[in-house]
Amino acid sequence: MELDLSISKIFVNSPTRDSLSSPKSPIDNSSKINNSEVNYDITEITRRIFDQKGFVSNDGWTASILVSGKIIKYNSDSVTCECITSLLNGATEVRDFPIILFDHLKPLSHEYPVKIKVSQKKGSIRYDVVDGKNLGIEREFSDLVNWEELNDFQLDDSL
Amino acid sequence: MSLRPLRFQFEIRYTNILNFNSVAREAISPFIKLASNIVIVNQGQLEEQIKLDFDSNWSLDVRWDRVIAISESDINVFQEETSSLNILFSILEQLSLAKSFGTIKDYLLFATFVKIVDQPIETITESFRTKFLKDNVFDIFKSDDYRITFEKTNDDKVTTVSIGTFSEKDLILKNIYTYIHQSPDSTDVGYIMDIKFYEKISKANYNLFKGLVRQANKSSEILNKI
Repeated sequence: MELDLSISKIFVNSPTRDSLSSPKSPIDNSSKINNSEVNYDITEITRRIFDQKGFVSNDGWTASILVSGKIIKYNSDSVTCECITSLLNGATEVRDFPIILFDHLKPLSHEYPVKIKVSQKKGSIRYDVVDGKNLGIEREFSDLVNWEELNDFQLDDSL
Repeated sequence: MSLRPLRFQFEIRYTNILNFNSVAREAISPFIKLASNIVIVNQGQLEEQIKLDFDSNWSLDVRWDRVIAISESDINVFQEETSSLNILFSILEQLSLAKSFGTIKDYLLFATFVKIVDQPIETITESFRTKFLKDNVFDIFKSDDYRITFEKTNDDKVTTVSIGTFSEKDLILKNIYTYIHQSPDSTDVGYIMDIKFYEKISKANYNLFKGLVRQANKSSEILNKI
């Protein structure tokens, strides 16, 4: 039988079946995943995006970076944020951003949490600053190892 | 010849949260501002599901017993801790703060890779058959589409690698939509590999995912040796 590759055919003929429900064994899904008859949730998602927006996905933007940060300084032109580049390694970087990216968060305040999303595609980079309230960013900062506390630390005492 | 990741699914499972709909809504609501779309399935029921779509072509499905990330993007895009997939771990952490949250049980990573080969499918099939199958097996299962599966099981860990021939039929049968969209007239053929890692765990962070991506990439290199 010849396969019809047209998008409309794929959408119309894609029965949505949940491949992920009702665990029966530790790797319940996996056996189903291997079954070539199973339709993946991913199709449902891409279809949803297509149906709602009339186009596919994100115009080619790829959000390559999403970092947690907090405002440490600001003036009329720019906002300085401390950004967590690796929670696992306790690494942060301080970066300046133009004030217009923070317009929707005014009035600004010190220590205010933000999420900074950096998307890119060929020829373009885009920054989105999102209100970081209730995203657990404060906890991320408090979980960071404070290396300065280890200054002057000595192992003089015998164990 | 090119090797490319086709899609992946990453799950972290936990003991069932019986009051999931109230716990999840509180935990997930702040993250909706980072999503491009939200869908609630089985609203108000015990097995409610909250699905979030993100700009970088991946989706998060939060359920009463697991969080699932699925994408048809290159898995390596998500390898760094600063990728948007970290939202999965942030939401998991928020869920784990609830009194009704029990314990994390296990994870599952399922990833598919393909190697496109500039040869006719008949040549690819024949090459695959001679390398992996004996003639008498071929006599029993006469076909132009083969797949073999290797599975390694320890007490708490299962690794499954499945290798076979790849053609546009696989895209249709498995609904690899993005691939079809990007190359609607694709007549790509080659080899396909499904990799599955399952392990019982009690805690999870981004290092876990990074390690699995590394492991999956290493396993996928087998395709280059066929």
